[in-house]
Amino acid sequence: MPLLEKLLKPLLDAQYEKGAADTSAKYEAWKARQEAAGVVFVPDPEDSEEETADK
Amino acid sequence: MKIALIISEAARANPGESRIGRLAGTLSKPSALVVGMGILFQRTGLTVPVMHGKLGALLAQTANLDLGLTAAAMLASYAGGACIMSLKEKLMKPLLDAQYEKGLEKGAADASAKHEAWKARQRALGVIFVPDPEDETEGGPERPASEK
Repeated sequence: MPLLEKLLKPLLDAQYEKGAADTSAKYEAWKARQEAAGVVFVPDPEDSEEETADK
Repeated sequence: MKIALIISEAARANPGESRIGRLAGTLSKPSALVVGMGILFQRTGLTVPVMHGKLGALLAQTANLDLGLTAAAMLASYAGGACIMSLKEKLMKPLLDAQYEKGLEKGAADASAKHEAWKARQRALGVIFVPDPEDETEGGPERPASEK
């Protein structure tokens, strides 16, 4: 249904971003709790790659 | 025929504010439909048969619902924003809600997969995560079996 997809694309894109942002925030909170509990994360080369790609 | 009713209702709600509304005010319902669909097809380059009469009603009942809604929504988009709102509120809301949830779920799933991949890399590098009671209550990331 190309026409339907075209009509709904802005709505879907916005919701995709909202879903991703909400989930990311949840995991960031989890990371913060882990760090508060003493866990030390190892630098991950793919982190910087993903951040660069995101930008 | 459903499409004829959709267009007529939307157009009559705002008779002076849209091209289709003006047409609906001066033409009969089937004529407004045919002219409206003609505008739609002309602008989109689509070749979709216009159905009306008893045969059209029968075909509309068996036609693909998405196609029907899409055609009506596209037509309304040319007719004016008020018509779109009318269509969304009355006819397209269930469909839009479903698509809304679909987008939300996909974004969450993608973010979750990305995070799980990151966790796996951290574990491979020797990081041991501590038990987090909020994980399960908040639907957060699962702990490895060794940590439970």
